[in-house]
Parts: sequence; C-alpha cells; structure tokens
Amino acid sequence: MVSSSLVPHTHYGPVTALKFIPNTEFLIAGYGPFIKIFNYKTGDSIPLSKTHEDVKIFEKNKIHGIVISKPHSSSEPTNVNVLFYGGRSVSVLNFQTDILHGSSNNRLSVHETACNDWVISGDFHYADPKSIYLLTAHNIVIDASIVGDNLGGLQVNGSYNCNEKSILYSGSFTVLNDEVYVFSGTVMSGIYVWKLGRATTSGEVLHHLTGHEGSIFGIKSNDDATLAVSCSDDRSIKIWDLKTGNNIATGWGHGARIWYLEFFNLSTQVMSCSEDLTIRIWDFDIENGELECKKVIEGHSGKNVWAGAVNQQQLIGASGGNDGKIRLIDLDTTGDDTHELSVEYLTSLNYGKSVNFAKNETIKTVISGSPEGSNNDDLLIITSYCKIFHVSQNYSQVKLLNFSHELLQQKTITETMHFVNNFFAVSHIENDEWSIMVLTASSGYQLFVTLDGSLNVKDVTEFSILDLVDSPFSKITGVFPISKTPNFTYFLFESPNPNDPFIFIKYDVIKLQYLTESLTLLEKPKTRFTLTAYDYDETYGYLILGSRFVTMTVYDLHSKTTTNVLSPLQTWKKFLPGDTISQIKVVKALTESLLVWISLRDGTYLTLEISRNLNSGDQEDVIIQGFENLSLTNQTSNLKIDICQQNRVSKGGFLEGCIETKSSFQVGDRYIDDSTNILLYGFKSDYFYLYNETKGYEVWTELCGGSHRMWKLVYPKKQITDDLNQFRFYYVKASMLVIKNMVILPAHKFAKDLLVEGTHGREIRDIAISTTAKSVNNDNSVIYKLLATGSEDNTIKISKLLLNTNDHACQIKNYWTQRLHVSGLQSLKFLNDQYLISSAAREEFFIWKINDGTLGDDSKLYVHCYDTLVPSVAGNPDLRIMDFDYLPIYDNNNNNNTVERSLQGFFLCLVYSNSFIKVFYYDLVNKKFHLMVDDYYKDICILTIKFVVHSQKIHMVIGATDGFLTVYDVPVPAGLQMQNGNDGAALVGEYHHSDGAAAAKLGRPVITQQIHQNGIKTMCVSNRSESIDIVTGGDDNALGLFTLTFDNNGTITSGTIKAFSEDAASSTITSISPVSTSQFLVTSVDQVVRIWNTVDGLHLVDAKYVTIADTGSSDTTTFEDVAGNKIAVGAIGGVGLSVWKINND
Amino acid sequence: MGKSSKDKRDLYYRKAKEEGWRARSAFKLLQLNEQFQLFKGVRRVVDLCAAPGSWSQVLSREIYEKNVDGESEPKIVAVDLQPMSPIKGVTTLQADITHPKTLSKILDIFGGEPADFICSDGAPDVTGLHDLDEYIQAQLILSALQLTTCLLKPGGTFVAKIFRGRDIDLMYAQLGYLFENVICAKPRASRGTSLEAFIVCRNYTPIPGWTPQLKLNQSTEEFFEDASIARKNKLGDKLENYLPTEERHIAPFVACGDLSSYDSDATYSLDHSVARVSLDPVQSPTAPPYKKAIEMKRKGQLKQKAYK
Repeated sequence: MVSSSLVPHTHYGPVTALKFIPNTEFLIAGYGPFIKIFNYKTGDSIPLSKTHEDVKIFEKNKIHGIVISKPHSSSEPTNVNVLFYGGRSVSVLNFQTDILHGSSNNRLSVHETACNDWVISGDFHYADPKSIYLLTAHNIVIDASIVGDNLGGLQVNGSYNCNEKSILYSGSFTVLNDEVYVFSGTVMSGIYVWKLGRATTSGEVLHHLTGHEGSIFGIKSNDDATLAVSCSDDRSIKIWDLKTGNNIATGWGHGARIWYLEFFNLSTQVMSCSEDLTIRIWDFDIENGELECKKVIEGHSGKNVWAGAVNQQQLIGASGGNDGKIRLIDLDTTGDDTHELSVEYLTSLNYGKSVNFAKNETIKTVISGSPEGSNNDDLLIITSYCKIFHVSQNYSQVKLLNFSHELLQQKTITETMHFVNNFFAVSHIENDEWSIMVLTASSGYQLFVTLDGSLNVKDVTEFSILDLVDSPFSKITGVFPISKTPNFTYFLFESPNPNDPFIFIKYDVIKLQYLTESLTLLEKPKTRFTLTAYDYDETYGYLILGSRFVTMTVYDLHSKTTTNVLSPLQTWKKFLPGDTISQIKVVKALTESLLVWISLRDGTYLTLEISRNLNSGDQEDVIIQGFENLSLTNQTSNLKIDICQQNRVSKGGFLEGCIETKSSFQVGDRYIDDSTNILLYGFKSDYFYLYNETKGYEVWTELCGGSHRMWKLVYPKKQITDDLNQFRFYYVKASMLVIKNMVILPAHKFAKDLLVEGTHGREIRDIAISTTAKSVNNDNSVIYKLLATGSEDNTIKISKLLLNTNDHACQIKNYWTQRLHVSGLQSLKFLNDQYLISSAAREEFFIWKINDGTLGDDSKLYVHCYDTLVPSVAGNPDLRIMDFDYLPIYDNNNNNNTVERSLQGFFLCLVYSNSFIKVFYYDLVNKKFHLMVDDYYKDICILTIKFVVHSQKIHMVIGATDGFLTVYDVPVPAGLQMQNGNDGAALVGEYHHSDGAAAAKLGRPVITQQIHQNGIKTMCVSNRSESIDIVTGGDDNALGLFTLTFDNNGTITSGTIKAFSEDAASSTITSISPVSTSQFLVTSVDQVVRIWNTVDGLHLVDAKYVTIADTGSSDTTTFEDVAGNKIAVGAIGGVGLSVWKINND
Repeated sequence: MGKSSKDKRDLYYRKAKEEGWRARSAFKLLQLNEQFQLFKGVRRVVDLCAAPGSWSQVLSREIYEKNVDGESEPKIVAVDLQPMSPIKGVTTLQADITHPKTLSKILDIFGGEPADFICSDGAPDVTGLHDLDEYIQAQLILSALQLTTCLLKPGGTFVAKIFRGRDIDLMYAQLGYLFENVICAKPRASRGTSLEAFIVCRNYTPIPGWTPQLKLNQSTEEFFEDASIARKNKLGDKLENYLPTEERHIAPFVACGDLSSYDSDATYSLDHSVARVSLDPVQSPTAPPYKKAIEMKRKGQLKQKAYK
C-alpha cells in the first residue's frame, strides 16, 4: 500500500504580530505560529534556513505579541532576548544566537512552553532579560524566569493579582525600573491600571478607567507611564492622564474595531490599525485636549489590520493585515514634501518687480522640468491670463517670462484683453535636454517656445495650423500632442462643431516645423463624439479615439490615399456599460493585432486586442452598437475587438488611468523578472489615489478636494521600477498651486513600502489549480500552474503556483484580483488552462477566459469574464449556486490527435440552494447556454454535484443537507463518444443543440442512499475502471466511501457504502482532493489535514496540523521536474493559504 | 433580531417572528428537545446568557405552560448581564454567572433544591481572530460549567452552544470527566455554513471528593484546578513544555430535527410558505457600543478634514 506523508511547505496568512528591534534594521513579523525577519531598510526578507524564509516558533498557537529585551550592551543591539507569546504559548529566544543563526532546522518550537491560561501580554524585567512578566486573560500577572539557557524552560517565581479577575481582551505592561505597571482591558468593565506589589503577591489598583463603551481592545501607556491610550468596541480612541485618571482627549474616525495603538514622537502622536483596513496617524494636543486624525492610510485588503509596530528612533510605522501584507509607513508627517504657490507668492518673489494681475487671474497649469535624470525641479507656471512664470528649484526664485514675441507683447499691454480666450492650451514636448512649450489659441495660432534643460527660453516660433486647412473651420477647442519618438510629435486638433473634422499632423521637433504632407483631416464618426482619450500606434497606423458613453473610433492612417481626408475605419458605441473613456493607451503591437489598454472613468479597465477583419470589404465608418456585437467577425465590420482583460477597481470614484511598473521576485534560488505591477490612479470622493492593482494596496493619496480642479500626474516616461519617488502630483486648489513630490519611499528610511504581498484578507472558499505545467523561463528551471482562489471577499485571485525544479521551492504569485462577483464565492474550477468557472450567491455563474502567453508574442497573463449565466430568478440575493461540474466536448476533426482537439463546448450541471438541478450545454463558440435538464431534488439545499462517466454513460451524483447521496442518469446526446484522458473524462463528436428543445426532467434517481447524518459538504470521485469510488465528507465529522459498480454498458448495477468513518475529524469536513486513485487529501475545520487511503476501506495515512484557521478548501496537483521526479503539491485555503508537499513513500 | 433584508432569506427567521419567538434560535432548542427529550420530568431549569430570551420562551412554553399534571410549579431562572423583558413563568436575573451571589439567588428561587437542567446559548462577539474567539467561547462554556457543577443535580443535563473549531476535542475530553454522556448535536435550524453546534451533556456525575465552590475573583482555571478536569498544563513551579498530545476526544455527532423540517441552508421562495409581508421584530435589538460612531459617520463627522 502506497502511503503518503504530508510535509508543510509555505504558509500565507494573517500577520498576527510585528516588532522592530531598536537600533537595528530588523523587523520581526509573526505569521500565525511562524516568524519572518525583514531588513526594513532594504525591504529584503532574511532567510532563516536554507529552504525557508520563515521559522516556526510555536507548534500550533499564533504569535500575538513580540517583546524585545534591552540589549546586553548598546554596541550589540541584536544581542537581545525576544519574548513571543500567543494563546497559552510562551517562548524566549535570543535574537542573534537562536533566531538569526540557530534556526537551520526551521523549528524553534522546541523552546515553546505552556502557560495555564491565555497570555494577553508580556514584558521583560527592567534589568534581567531572563525574567519576564506575563499577563493572563484572568488579569493575573505571572513572574517567571528562564531556567539555565533558553532551552531549560521557564520557572514561575510568583504571581500577582489586583482582585479584579474580569476576562481581558487586551492589556500591556510598562516597566519603569522596579515599578511594574499593568494595564488591563476587560471584556465588560473598562480598564484597570494597576501596579505590582514589591513584597506581596497582590497589586494595587491605581485607576479604574470607565469612559469607554463595550470591550476594551487596546490599552497602552507611553514610556514614562504618564499617559495611556485606549480603544474599545465603541470605535473611539481615548487618551488618559495617568496622574489623575481623567480622559483628556477622544478621537473618532475608525469605521470598525481598532486592534493596535501606540504612542510615538514623544507622546504627541498615536498610530492606530483597524478592522476597517486603515492605519491612522493621530496628532495629540495635550494643551487643548485634542486628538485629531492627521493621516489615513488604506494599506490592506479584505478585513482587519491586526498588527502594528512603531520604530521610535526612525519614525517608521509597520502594519500587518489579515491579508498577510506588511506595509511600512513614514510616520514623519512634518517632512511631507509639499509646496504651495499662490498668485500673490509669485508676485512677491518676482525680483521685487510688481506684476499686475487681473482680479480673477488664477494659476491655470504647470510645466515641470524633466523629471528624468537631470533632477531639475524648475517649473513654468501659466496663469489664466497667460502670464508665464519661471519658478526655480526649491521654489525660492520666481521670474516672469517675457517673450519678445509680438503676439504676447501686444496682449500684455492691456490687461483687459483675456489671453485665456486666445491661448487656451499649453502642451509640453519633453526631451532629456530640452523641451518645447506649445501655446495654442482657439484661432489656430500656436507659439512653439523652445526651452533648455533649466526651462530658460531659447527660441520662440509661431504658426497657424488653420492656414493648412482649406475648408472653413470654426475654431479649435482641443489640442492633443502624442509623442512617440524623440524627433516627432503628432498633434490632434478638435473643434466643437461635429461637421469639422479632427486635424491630425506630424510635427518635427528638431526642425521646429509641421510636416505639411502629413496633414490629415479626420471626419468625425456619425455619432456624437467629444474626445476624452486618445492614442496612436505607428506600427499599424491606428489612431484610436475615445469619447463619452464608452464610444471608441479607429482611423487607419496608413490607408490614407491621395486625398488628405479620412473617415473612421470603425466606431463602437456603448460597447460596454459605463460612461466616459478616460484613458486609451497602446500596450503593444503584436504580429497581427494591437493590444490597447482602456480605462473607463466609472472604474472599469480593460485590455483589448484590436485586429483587422480579413473578411471585411473595407467599408467606411462602420458603427457597431452594444456589447453583444463586439467580436462579430461578419463582413460588415472592418475591425474586430477581443477583450483580453477586464476588471473593476476596488474602490468607487473616478478611474483616470494606469501606469505599468516592473519588479522581480524570487522562487528558491531563481529570480523571475516578469512581474508587472499595474498602478491605477484616479479620484475617490475628495482625494486622489494611486493604487497598486497587482499587489492590492493604496500607494499614495492626497486630499485635494476632488477631480474637478486642474491636476497633473507627472512620472518618468521610461520603464519604471518599483521606485516611485519620482512621481509628482500637481493640482490647483483655492487659486493655489499645490505641488506634491510623492515621497513614497523616504530615502533614508526604507526602500520598499510593501514587504509582503499576501493573499485574500478574508476566508478562501475554493481553490483550483490548472492542469498543464508551463515554464517561466526557457530552461524549465521554474515551472508553474495557474492557481485560482475564490474568497468570502467576493474576489477571485488568479495566481501562479511556481515551482523551482532545482530546489523544489514553491511560491504563489498573484497577478489579478477579479472583482466581478458581488457575493462570496462558492465554487471554482478550471475547465482547462484557458477557462475557469466560478459560482456564488445571487446565482452568479461566470466563465472566465485566461490568456496566458497565448496572445501572439505577448507573454502576459490576461483574464476576463467570457460569459455569464443569466439568473433564473430575479432579485433573490440568497439564491446560491452551491456547486457545479462540467464535461468538456471536443470536436472530432482531429480524432487521431487528441492533443489538437478543439473545445467546442461543455455540459454543465449546477445545483442551487433552492434544490434546483440544472444541466446546460454551453456552446463556447457562439457563447450560448442551452438548458437541457431543469429539475429539483427536494425542499432542501444541495451542496455538491459531480458528473460520473463510465463506459458510454453519464451519471450525476448530488449530495445535499439531508446527508443523502443521489445518483441520476443523464442521457448521452447522439453523436458523442466518451473518452477518458489524463485530465479526466471528455466527450468527443459533433453536438448541435436544437434551439426549440424543451428542458427535460431527470426522472427517478438510480440510487438514493443516506450516508451522513446531515450535510454532505464535499465529494471526490475516483474512477477505478471496474467501479467508481465516491468519497464523501460530512458536517457530521464523518468520511464515507461509496462505490458504484457497472455492467458492460455502463449501467449502474449497485451502489454500496464500502466504509464509513464516523470520527474522521473532530469537526466539519470541508474538502477532499485526490492524491491518487486511492489516496485523498481531506481538510476539516478542526485545522487538521489528513491523507486517507481507500483500498479495502478507509484508512488514515497521515494527519498534520494546518496553520490556517477556518480550513475550508483544497486542491492538489503534481509537477514533474527536469529529472522526471514527480512532486505532488496540495494547496489548502482558509484564512490564508497553506502549501504542502505530498511525499509518496 | 432587527427588521432587515434577512427577512427574505431565512425561513426560520420569519417563522420565529410569526410565532413570536425573540430569536430564531428558539427552534434550535425545540429540535434539541425533540431529539433528546431534554424537558422530560424537568422541574427546575436555569437558562444562562439568556438575553434576548428565546430559549427562556421555549422553556416557558414547554415546561411552565405545559405543566398539566398539577404538581408543584416548575421553576425557570434566566440569567444575563443584559436586561431582558419578562417572560411568563420565568424569573429573570440581571447578574454575572460567575458571581457567588448569583448562585445563591438561584438556589433561593429553587428552595435550596438543585437544578434538573441547565442550558446556555451564549456566544461572544466574534473578533475574527479564530483562536481568540475559540478561547473566549471556551471561557463562556467553562463559566457556565462552573455554575453548573455547583447547581446541577447528579444525573442532570447541561446543554451549551459551541463552535466546532480547532481544539474542540479538548473541550469534549474535559466534559467527559463530568458527564457520562457527551454528544455534539446540530439542529437543522442551525446553518450548515456555521461552525455552531451544541454540546448535550447528560447524566452529571460529580467528581468524588470535590466540592465545587464559586469564589469572587477566581478564574475558571483555578476553579477547576482541584477537579481532575483542569488542563494538564497547570501553572506549577515551572511552565511546562508544550504538550502536543493533550487529551483529545471526539464526541459522537448527532444531527437533530426532522429531515422534513425546514433546512436553514436552503433558499425558499416566499410564496411557498408565508405571505411576503415585512414583520416587525419581536424585540428591538440592544444598542451596540459603537452606536455613537455610526451616528457620527452618518452625519459626516468622521470624514478626514480636507487639506488645509
């Protein structure tokens, strides 16, 4: 009998504790029972053994607190003892000898000792790093010390109590020499501040602080125990004067419970972390008794930020979330790199010469010096009356520019002439050494002002664009430069008159002149079209323009013939629900198509593949309306669009655009260089945000008042790495120009603002791993399969499960977080490597298409929702699609070559919480669901369903909340043959569904058998050629083995419970995944993962503790390394993700 | 139990409103009784963590009002820290179940006689930190259990809500020392998606030679320290090495409630059973501690002040 053993490999889960080691660059993070060590300055994680970056401190319990002793000497700041506590577990380890250098076996939990009660807090004795105090949940302080070295365990010296043994939710110590203050946050009765007796075992209650409502979730004092800060279920933060016991300030702001509080900056500021996913910085004004929220950082996703830490010397904060992310925060709020320039300020600094301003003259726009290379911070500021100021670096010198050009000269003489009416647009063409400022007037007049690297005027030329246009042209109200190469810039001019064409022309920035032969007049689409976004691709000559109502038009500039008039090649109107297209960006020209990024202001973003329709007859301006006809390849369309990627931002507000940045990551000993980060930016209510969409966190925000004002985001044009410090945000507010240099990574503090990327911040409800392994690099040194996780947070994460074939290191790297579901995920399955199916409440059933390196020469991963099943019942938010299964149908054109067979569609069976059972034929090519069977089971919820295929027959097995397993026959439609491949059963042949066919009923079940007392939570089917085994897992802690036997025709002859283990787990069994045809990985809520063997009954092979809570889902897969060794891997999901190796002995 | 969109989704919730129960959990006790005949011959009952009082309502209807044999009047005591509106035949005590005075008050009401049946449907607010939530729930059960050991007659029954998470097998092992029969029961009115279940502990067998005594300022650990059911890792001279092989036991599982009764996981269309009318809650929910924070948010007072 082959027996497998489980070896834990990687743990992704909530951050439960954080601590900086003073006077060092180390940050310790508690991940459940594990710790990771980071150098916060470099952002690197310190390997703690050959194979692992983490080390296990406790066998099972989570680390809830980390305390650092004073160093033995100030010259050795790492020679400190570290106290870990969590649950009933306690451990004291030396950081240098035990953790940094002693953890090669990846297991320090041998040092773990047990307390008889839950430990709320701990601290070291003021003089002895071998003595500790522990505060228990019954408000008792235990005084203990290390016996011999750390391995000797902890000896109890005594205990203290203050005669108030309420249950505590929180607590802390402040040790001031030989005075030990205890702060106890109770469940029901406020806060007790007490002091340990020196001679007695009792403690003296100093204060009973009762100003909060509800349970106290945090209480901590400042260093000298003069002030305390606390929080409770009432969501307020209170500051207490510990001399008087008075509540001297209260701060409100958090929208949920607060889990972490700490004073910093000489007790003048407080950092807090909350369930509402924010970290807040509070200013405490002791004079006026005010606690004011100064800064809000939305650093995490899902729910809850459990842990926080403050580096008091460096003023760095760290936060750790339920999502596993660790964020670093610059707590120095004074050094914010902000500059505000007013019109008055400009005047005052103009070398003493006064400048007259009109009454309503305001700052209109700004041109910054090249942000690349030259470090030039000079600015040009243009007012609404077209005065141009040169502002030097540091904003200390201001000079009014005076061109010697008559157009400007004339107008500056009389203040009454409104320049703004003439020169309405200022464009900026940048180069490494120089730039051109282009002022455009509605009359078509343009001034090209050449500037040197310090923005000094070198040359001014003038041109009227309308001189080139023969036909009458009303006026120019929009001018849009498109720079593709250093030597040329395209200009696009827009008029408000729908009969006026767009003017498109190329400008030679070296010769400072328009290339008149390039002038093209672009007829507007035959639909209302106000330009809101644009880009031009030189490879195909496609000029893509976007407008309101998700309308987009494409001109083929390469098709220009003798005339210079061109009509649109194609226009799509309302091709998605939504409003304005806010950004169009050419991503890449592929061999036969163009990849284009589109941002919609209402929050949708997509990547489109635009390609020529080879069947078309090149008609003029085809207008395609509506979403359904988007990818039609009929003869009437010139172009076709395929959506490769579609998603929505996590927050509401306005999406303005996206920027790509690059970074790399490591799998074992190999670096992977393909990690692209998508940064999205836009406005939400009254602030501007920059959000890392790939890693899922808010990078930067600015309370600018909203999107209606002039704003500009300036960033380097070259490929950007994760270093975002060169970003700059300008906006005008209250006639003031605000310049924000984004100091995301303060140079002397830290190099990365996100130390760990993490995973879902809520429970993972299902996991699916794709079948085919692919190589990241050409030498197969790192291979991967796609891993999809569906969570309670309504999102699906599409990741790669990467395996280093050399050292077998395993890692999960997330690529996309899809947000189409609006309810918690129920079930998730890969159909093959290209299609993923998901189901949830509200009858949500989505088919996702994944393009993984399949788009020409573009190797990126794209995901979009290919199709959705329309809900059968309107408006029932509770109607859940509990589970589904599928059978692929391939056409038989390549019958002899099964590899080449192409997917035609699939049969789907779905079960619902209202007991409905439905079978659909899904036509993949025509995107159509055909209902084949419409029936119901009983009045109860069905939990799970599987197709079972044997010989030439199809059956369906369902498990419901009544504990019954029910088997139905499903007739095989004519023309289809069953085939069993490596990736399971499939149907091969031609299948045509007749549209008029009515949905059938299932008829009487073949078998009805009660197996469990209540809900069959999960099932796994194993085809053993003669018979089929169904392993069932129940809410009743039991595991069942049910065997179906068949005759030669595939007709079921019997169904028998072969084995039943009634105490297979101590709690609900939640998932069963196959390891082989007779071995199964089983998870249950008791946090134990087990391997069961089904040969001659149910036999437990291995059982191991899983470090993630609410263990609810799993999937298994097998990789093969270069030498042909099989590596079986299991992924287990709950509050986090746990990766296991399954060794076959 | 408020008036919310939940109306649409849960049949037990609607049925509870219709039948006048203060919470849907009433059905859980009714189904537990169906299975285990918990109320049979019971004269003295204690309902711990009773607010808002749906279990007390069940006890009142099933034990007090059905007392047809004319024997002495059954005594039902409901204890909670929160106030509770009166229920016929139930004496409500707003008190702490760990306080010795509470014990003596109950004994006064019972005329010095022990209780036949003690139940608790109490659950703490969930934080989301699973281990902490499990610990607090275990403490709640142990608090109920210590009062039970002082109050329950030998042979009596104790029923309490549990969450079947990590280490629930440790709790079963502890209960096994005090009761002859410990079962983990799941009524069909309790959702399958919830970890909630109930321990039904029958035939209380006091530990020989141990006189349980409630004292002020005594932790549950200390209370059970003298009984053999305390955790093995006691606070002694030394904090012991962590024992991974603590005593664990899996209690037999029993699903209760007729299979034909409503399924709490199922989605029912409303016309199928009851008219689609919005029902007012039987009792208004108590104000949460964060009521002020919610009010401030509604008024826009929690918004961060704009850039100055």
